[in-house]
Amino acid sequence: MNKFLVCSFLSLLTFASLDKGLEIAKRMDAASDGYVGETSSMRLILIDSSGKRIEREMEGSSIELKDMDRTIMNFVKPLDVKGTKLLTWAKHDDDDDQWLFLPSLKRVKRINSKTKGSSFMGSEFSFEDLGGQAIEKYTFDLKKEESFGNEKVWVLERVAKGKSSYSKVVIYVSKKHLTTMKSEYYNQRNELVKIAVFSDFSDYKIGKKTIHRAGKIEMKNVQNNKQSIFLWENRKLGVKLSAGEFTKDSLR
Amino acid sequence: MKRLFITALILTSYTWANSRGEIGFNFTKYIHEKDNQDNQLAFTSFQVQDSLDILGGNIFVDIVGKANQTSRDNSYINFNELYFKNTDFIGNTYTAGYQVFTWSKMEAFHPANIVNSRYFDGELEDFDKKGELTLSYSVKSVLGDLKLFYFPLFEKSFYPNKSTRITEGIRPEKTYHFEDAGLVETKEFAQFGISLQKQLGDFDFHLFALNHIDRNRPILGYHQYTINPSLGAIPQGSLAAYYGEVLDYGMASTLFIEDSTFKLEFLGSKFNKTEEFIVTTGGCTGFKNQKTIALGHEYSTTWDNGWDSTFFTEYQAVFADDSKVKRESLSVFQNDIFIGHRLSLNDAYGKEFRFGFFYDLQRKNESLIFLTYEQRLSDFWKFKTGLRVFSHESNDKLGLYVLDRDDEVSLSFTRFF
Repeated sequence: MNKFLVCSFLSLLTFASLDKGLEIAKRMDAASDGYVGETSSMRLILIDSSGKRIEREMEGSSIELKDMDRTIMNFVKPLDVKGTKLLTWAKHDDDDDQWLFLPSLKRVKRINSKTKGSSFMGSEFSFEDLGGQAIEKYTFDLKKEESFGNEKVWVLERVAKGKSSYSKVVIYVSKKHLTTMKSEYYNQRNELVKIAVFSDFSDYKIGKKTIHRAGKIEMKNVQNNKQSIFLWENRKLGVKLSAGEFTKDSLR
Repeated sequence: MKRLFITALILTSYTWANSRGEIGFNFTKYIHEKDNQDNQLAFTSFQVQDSLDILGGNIFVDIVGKANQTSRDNSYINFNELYFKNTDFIGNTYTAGYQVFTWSKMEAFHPANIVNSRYFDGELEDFDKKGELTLSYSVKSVLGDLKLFYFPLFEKSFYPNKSTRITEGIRPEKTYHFEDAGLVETKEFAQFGISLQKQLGDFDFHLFALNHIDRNRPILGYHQYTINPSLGAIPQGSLAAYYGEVLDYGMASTLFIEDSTFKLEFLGSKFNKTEEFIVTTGGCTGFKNQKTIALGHEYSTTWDNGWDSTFFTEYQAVFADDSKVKRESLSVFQNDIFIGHRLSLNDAYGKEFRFGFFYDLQRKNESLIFLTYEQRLSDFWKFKTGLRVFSHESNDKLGLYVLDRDDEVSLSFTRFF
């Protein structure tokens, strides 16, 4: 009987933490919603285990639609991939659609978005890390509350409902800004693989709303000691773009 | 050339936005030496691409060229693309100008790549395409993206000269195709087609039908000959390439199931004229109605050390409508399997290995193996090296016989800008 009571109590606690986790995730989602359209230049710095650095450059634009976010990344450097474009339709309630345009072959190739673990441009970011993160695709479990730097944070455990290259991702969410401050990625053997730290936040005003976005993500692979840094420059939110600019026909 | 120069002058007065280009320094050494043929090859290749927003639409330009140091005859420069694209007031898209179309979704076999003439001086399994004058109109409908094509000109393919190892270096002096009046050499010929593309969840397909001059399967030979009772047909005149008018219809499709991608391509070809009138090295022949089917599977995985592997398995079969016709006379890959692997080390230099193995399931010991390695040397330079080995046993001048003892090692340095 006592065992039953303890189990029931623990179950209730679990449901409560899941409810609370989902509620926080929904609040995060609402806080980042409403950007309308976004354009930016991006730099991706790859640092190998010996400290050697190499840089990539991209131009990105995104549009927020009712049922999905659409993004185009246009590669600028290195020059051998210049003109390559990656179009992502990050759907809220379904798998993403992705197409890659290869200029030298003049070919638009649809990518199997279920192959999520592949490296993005040789970096420590995978396509899954950069793809759609719609809350409908995950469960969120509130684990604890603590401090991260000067911020008070909720620590959520995010588990994908569908296929993922991660068993879980532990997310540190700023209570003040409802943005991710840090993420810890665990592989299917439940070993810590990567840690992403978000910084250089800026506020973007769109109408009456203010959106808080990181300008830098440092992703460190703790297993191979490689590191990749994503930097956003000239970022503009609230840009009016047309959905027609985010179709596979528009890639060429 | 004058026309191209004037066009180039007009276009250079605008600001271009998305320019990219490359110049490659390529060297190939053939392992087995042959008399009267190139035993090594050195050439410089280049490609320049750009686009421009103009008159509410876009102009796309793609210039390609090759300067062959060992054989000047094998050099060329061409506008592969020079076309205008715009969207009209009801949201439909039209294009006009020289374009290249890549419809195939497969890695090794490409039955759906029926549009465009070719540069017959590259890799046998997939010769590069040459731009062709095209008018197209694309309509978005509930059925999918419907596209209408019109090709007013028949563009001749490029053939390397006699000393080249590729395609045995056969360069025809003339190019013929059929019109009502018979064989003609004119470029003008009305060709048209229709295609439909649709995506249904994880399945997408591309249906097409095209009535055109078949640019991919020319027959090299002679249409003038005399019959000698003891020697058979004795050709007269000069070697020519013959192209037949054909109705091509088919599809290219992909289906994603978990980490796997399944591919299916089909092509049916019905020629307007099928009489045997051309004398070739294999005897008297003509265009054959045929069907090609190709199946493919692609699987990608990421290793614990961060390397990405993609495995390819493909199969292609070609069937003549007339069962008496030898399948191997229709295509080099008439009943072949392909196994390939791409290994990306995902480091800063983009190091990548590719391995491919074509094996003929019908013909004895006929195979093609290639292995390549490439990596960036800097933000501007890339290095690539490769090995290609051919195996051919039958003595019937079909299949890979054109590449018999043409095993090669190659090396290239490419500068991007």
